[in-house]
Amino acid sequence: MRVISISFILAGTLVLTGCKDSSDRPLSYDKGVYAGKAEPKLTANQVEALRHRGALQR
Amino acid sequence: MARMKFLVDAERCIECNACVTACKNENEIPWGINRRRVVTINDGKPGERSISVACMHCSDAPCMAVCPVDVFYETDEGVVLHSKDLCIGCGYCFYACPFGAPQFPQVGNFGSRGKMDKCTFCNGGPETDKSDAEFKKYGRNRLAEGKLPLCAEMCSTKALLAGDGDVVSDIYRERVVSRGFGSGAWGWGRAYPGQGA
Amino acid sequence: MLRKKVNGVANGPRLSSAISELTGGAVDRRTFLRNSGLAIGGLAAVTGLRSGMVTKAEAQTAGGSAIEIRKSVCTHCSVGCTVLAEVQNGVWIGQEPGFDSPFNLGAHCAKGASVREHAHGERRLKFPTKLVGGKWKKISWDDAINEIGDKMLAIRKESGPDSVYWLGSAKFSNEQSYLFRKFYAFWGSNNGDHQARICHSTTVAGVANTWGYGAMTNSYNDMHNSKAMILVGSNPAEAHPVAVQHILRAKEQNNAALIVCDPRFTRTAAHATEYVRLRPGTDVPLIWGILWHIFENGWEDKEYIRQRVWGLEYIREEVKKWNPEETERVTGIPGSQMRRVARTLATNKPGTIVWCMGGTQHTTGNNNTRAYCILQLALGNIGRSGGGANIFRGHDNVQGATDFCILSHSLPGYYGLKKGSWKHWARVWDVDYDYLKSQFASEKLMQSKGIPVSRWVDGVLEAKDKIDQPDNLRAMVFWGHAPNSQTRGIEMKKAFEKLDLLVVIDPYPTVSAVQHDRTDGVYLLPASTQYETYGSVTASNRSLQWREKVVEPLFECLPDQTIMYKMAKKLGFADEMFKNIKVEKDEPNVEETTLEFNKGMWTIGYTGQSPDRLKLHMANQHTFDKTTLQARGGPADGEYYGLPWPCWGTAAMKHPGTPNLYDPSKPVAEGGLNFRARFGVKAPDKWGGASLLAEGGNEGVSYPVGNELKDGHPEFTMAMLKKLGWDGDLTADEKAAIEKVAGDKTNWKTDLSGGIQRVAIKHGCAPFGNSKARTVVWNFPDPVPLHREPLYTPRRDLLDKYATYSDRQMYRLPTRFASIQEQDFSKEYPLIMTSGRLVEYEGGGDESRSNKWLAELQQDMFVEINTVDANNLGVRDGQMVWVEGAEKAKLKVMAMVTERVGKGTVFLPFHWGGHFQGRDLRDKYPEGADPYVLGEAANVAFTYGYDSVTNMQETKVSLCKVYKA
Repeated sequence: MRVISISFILAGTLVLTGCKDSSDRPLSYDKGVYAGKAEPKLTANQVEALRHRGALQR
Repeated sequence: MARMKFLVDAERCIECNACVTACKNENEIPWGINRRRVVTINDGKPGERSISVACMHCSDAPCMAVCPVDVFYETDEGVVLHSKDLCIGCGYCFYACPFGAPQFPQVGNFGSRGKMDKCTFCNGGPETDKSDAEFKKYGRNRLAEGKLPLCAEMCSTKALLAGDGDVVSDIYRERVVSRGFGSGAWGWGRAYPGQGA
Repeated sequence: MLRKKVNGVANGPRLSSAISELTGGAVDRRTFLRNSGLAIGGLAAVTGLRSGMVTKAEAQTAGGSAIEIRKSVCTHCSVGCTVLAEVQNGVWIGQEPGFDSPFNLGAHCAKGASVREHAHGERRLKFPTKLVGGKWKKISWDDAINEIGDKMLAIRKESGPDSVYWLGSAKFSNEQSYLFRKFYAFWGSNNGDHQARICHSTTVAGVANTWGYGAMTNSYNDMHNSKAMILVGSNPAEAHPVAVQHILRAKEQNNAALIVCDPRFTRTAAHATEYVRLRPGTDVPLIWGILWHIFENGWEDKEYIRQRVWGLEYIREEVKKWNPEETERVTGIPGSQMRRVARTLATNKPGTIVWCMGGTQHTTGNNNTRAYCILQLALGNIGRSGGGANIFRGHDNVQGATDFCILSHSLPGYYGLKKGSWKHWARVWDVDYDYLKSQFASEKLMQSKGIPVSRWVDGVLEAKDKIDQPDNLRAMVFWGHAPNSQTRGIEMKKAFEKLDLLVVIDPYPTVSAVQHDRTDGVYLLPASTQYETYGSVTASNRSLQWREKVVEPLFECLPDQTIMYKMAKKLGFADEMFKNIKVEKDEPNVEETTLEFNKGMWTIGYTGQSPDRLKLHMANQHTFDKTTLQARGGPADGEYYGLPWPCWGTAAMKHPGTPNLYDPSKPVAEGGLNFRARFGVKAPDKWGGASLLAEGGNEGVSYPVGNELKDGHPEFTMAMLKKLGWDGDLTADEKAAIEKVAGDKTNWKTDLSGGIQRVAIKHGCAPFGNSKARTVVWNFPDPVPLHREPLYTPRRDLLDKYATYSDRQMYRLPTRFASIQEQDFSKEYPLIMTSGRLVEYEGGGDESRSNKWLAELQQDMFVEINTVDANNLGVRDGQMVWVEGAEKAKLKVMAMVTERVGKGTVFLPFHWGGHFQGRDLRDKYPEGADPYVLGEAANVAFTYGYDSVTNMQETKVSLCKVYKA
């Protein structure tokens, strides 16, 4: 009996594991909201560098 | 800072295609995909003018509005980027874009569309900055290196400008003053409504 | 023909509405061609392209080692754009804009932005290859050199050294150019040449004979100071795009007029303030027509002319004939427009003139270039900042290769081929004159001009008894030179097939590998590009820049200097030739090569530019002013960027270089100058016998600031120094060196110590004398430039007044003029055919058509034809047509119907190759080395016709017919 229930639990776990989506894609959809990976932000220094760089195009 | 913008000075563009090539070189874009291209009107006739066209990173970007799966996002600097992980290749953005920017590489033999590809303002995409994955999916992240889009930085006549909107419009305004006329920064009205140039 | 997959590149309705903000619709050339279809083995080959190519991402992950920046110079046109290469683990992974470069300020054109592809080299020639029984076989370098050398030595024995032809390249660095010129001198022949013959040879001849030197007088940057710019037969928007940045600055900041004279409404013309459409081949009438108004209204600069110009009265007489009616009759330009142009030029000074191939590639090319000079002299525009003759050269180092005279008529530095010239170089080379003489078939051949590249086909095919050398050409070496830049394709194919030996040394197989049906006797040797070696390169403005090596040679490629050494060793003169240049692993030391030419190039001042000084400039680019090119502070303070020649004296003398030629407003020691006294001190009696020396005693005008002689003077010799009492300024070493050369007869050109130059400059004098410019070149076929109709002219009605020259013997070959023009081809071939460049490609195009980023932009060879002609012929846009030249060679190309060309004229870009009269030659290329894009070579259909002085080919005007394919 115990063996049966253990194997049942194991089998159940196994089956449920198959349902788990291992990818990191978003599973819920919220209209108008970007749900992908976040974009790393530029630092203040990087932004300042870009302003200077822009002036080189003169 | 003001948002990042492209500015195309049609009085200066000579259709040399440096921007197109620089883009391909920098981002290793395959044959057949053009994130940027040069369009000429009145070809061979008086009034001939050329403009370099790519994603303008619009404020209130129409692509963003129509995307059924919301792949687009705007960075703090106003760059419009998208996630290729989320894109389903439906092509709505292409029909919405006033600049024809979105590109769809062919996958398979039956013309099914791959994931959308477009100009990233040389800002890569939603992967770790300067990572291998970012480069392969989106191209180089120059902004993270403190550099601006290569198309503009390499423009032969400095017709294509990129960067902080205030900086590029200052450069452009100086030219307009010395020319004594301004035909307007092409596409600005459409891309950045109410922000002048 | 396959349809190209467009992949969403479509011009959506919204894009066209966005574009219409600018003006109305119309599709452009590239969209038209890209959408029109794609016949390509190339595209198939592009798929799966990435094999073998190290991508940036892969290189980045490979080791994570630091990214280095290497500084090189673009290998396409002559602007000299700095290329910043990002290199990691020996792989070229990225390209950055060189904002510090005074020439390009970070900018590139499509070609410049694509040069990293060279370091992928997917379509490069990868190893030495030979044709055996119609099949390409890989061989080793040693075997290749041995087999080629043995064959050459056999030919030499049977026919003499003049039967081997050494065709060099404007793609060489200065050091390679110098070594190559030295190489065929040591081989014992003057049969060597390079692209300058077919691009600006008529410029060099015409301009040097007018005022001393044949180069661009000012610089791209100096155009910032121009108030008017007139471009004749020059289309920088396609050929020199980064130059347009400088041109547009003048246009915007000075409100400068930009006048574009061209048979085509070019991409440059689209930005002009005035566009002048002339009939091809009527440049002299155009210029004389402008001058007619200038003289008529007294707009010429009379004071300048009095002090600095000789012979203008003879020009006036000729110009009188070119009243507005006659000018319009010949050129097609309305009189009112000519007056407006003349007025603009007269009232907007300083003004500059720019010309390119549209002016030079004519049977009367030397007349055209002299006419341009004369216009500028009459306006007083030469020797002034913002003025000048800004002659844009074509290739990255065509100026340098010309200066080192990879030509059939001169030794390095334009010394000529006279005995004295050979003796000068024998001294520099540290060899006996007799040794050099013994290498030649005879002393006479040693001093006689060789066959020019434009005529190599005749050198092979002409009857032996009509050639002024012992035998025909039997071996051709194409060392960095495409054959599709030369005309008469059908005869060229015959010539290729008649040769005993054909050697191609190039990073790509080139059209030479395929444009014939040979089965044996062809060798292809893989040369490195300039990114795989290092050395100096001369931009159009005479500035030298030093390139660093970006990556090691790819595949089995070798740098040209190494191949030269290997060949010299095999041919038996390496020890003499490289006597004073260190050689390691068969590679001659580059810096020592520079230092060797520094010792001999006195005529044009290539003596002060030591490798150390050039490297210093490259490292401190940011310190140079972007208009004047002068360093302000920093380690090169006061010097001009790249030490533009003449950079007088030795490097130790620290001359700053000469930014604008003949500008007397500053001392010679600071880059000032006056016109060169090159033609004696007195005109021949036939031409009035007057003094040619500058006169007027006007400091800063008739002589440079600080010139102690205070007027015109002849060129310096030791005897002159003594007479002036200045010889005391020479050091003992200098005196000894001068004594050793020729005593008192030693002059500023032959003094190996540089002492004479140093002392002349110390006293404020130009070493080459101070003369007037001469407007009449009494030793040319037309002393006063005359109009003569092209050989293939549609205007038979003009021949009574403007016929061409008589046939004559030139450059060892019979050369036809009148005997062709006398025949009327215009009935059967009614359309004028002209040619030119596109921005994406360069030259014969083998390299650029093998670059996938460029190839994608231009996939089909085409012909531009006017709407009226197209409709009359029933030809539709995008249709395939035959363009048949007047010598019956045919091209199958796509029709592009456009208003860009006028009615009656068609235009062909000349960069394609790999199709021949409708036949696709793709399967003839060595495997994997076929360019992505192939097409008909325009020059196959271009016809006979050579300049009366230089044998420049006439590729800007011929006749053709067009019909549906």
